[in-house]
Amino acid sequence: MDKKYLIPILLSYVAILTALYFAFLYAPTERTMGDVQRIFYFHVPSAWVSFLAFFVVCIASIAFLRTGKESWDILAASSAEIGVLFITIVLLTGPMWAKPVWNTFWTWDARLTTSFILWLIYIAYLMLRSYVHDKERGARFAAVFGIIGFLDVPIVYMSIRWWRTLHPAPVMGGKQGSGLAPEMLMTLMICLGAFTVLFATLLFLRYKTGMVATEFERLKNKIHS
Amino acid sequence: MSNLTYLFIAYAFIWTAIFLYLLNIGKKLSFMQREIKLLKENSHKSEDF
Repeated sequence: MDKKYLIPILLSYVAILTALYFAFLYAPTERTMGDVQRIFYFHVPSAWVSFLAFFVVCIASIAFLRTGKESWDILAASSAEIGVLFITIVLLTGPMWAKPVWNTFWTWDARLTTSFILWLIYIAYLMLRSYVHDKERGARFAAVFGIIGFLDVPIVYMSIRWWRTLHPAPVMGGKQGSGLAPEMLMTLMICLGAFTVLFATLLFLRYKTGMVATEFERLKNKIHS
Repeated sequence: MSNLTYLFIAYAFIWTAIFLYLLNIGKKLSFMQREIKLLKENSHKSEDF
């Protein structure tokens, strides 16, 4: 394998192994929820990565609309795909945590509903990209959609502050009395870092694939014309 | 189901999803690289004629 691909993959591997060590061996067991609370260490970083990915979509889409450079469009599409992957993980791991704690897999509370809407928005974004035949027009539509779709991210983030919900209150920057034990906080920070490294690696690989696919299309058109 | 079963299912979801995505990228990338190589070879051949 090419060295430029191997280094980020190895880095992600080490980061995730470290995160797993902290989540399962270092962090103490939560007193009321027990071991199932350990879902938190990968559920929250997955949400963070999806927000980051949609932020990249928004910035890359703005850059694409301003410059018209195809590479920005490829970056936006790559990031959207990864964002959808991680928000799907959030929507699947959340119910696994909710069932033993809330006694239900799903409830239409503000945080869950806005997260589900976010998932639908970016699924629609990916569908829009694949269904519009005129590639350039599709890219412009998707860019506008990607920018507007990002508006849901702050709503998802603020939902547990704005509305009374079943979802736990924020553990950082929340009300007085909220917060985490120092070992739990450190584990969360390490998991956030590891998932950010994983995101960067996936984005790099997906972006490179997109660039190669574009080169392929260009070559094919050149030969056929 | 016990708490540990839910924990296991959640982590299984995470790693299966990421693994499948990586596999998908890898497949796409190697397919594209192979096709580009073939196209380049074909274009060189047609230039020779």
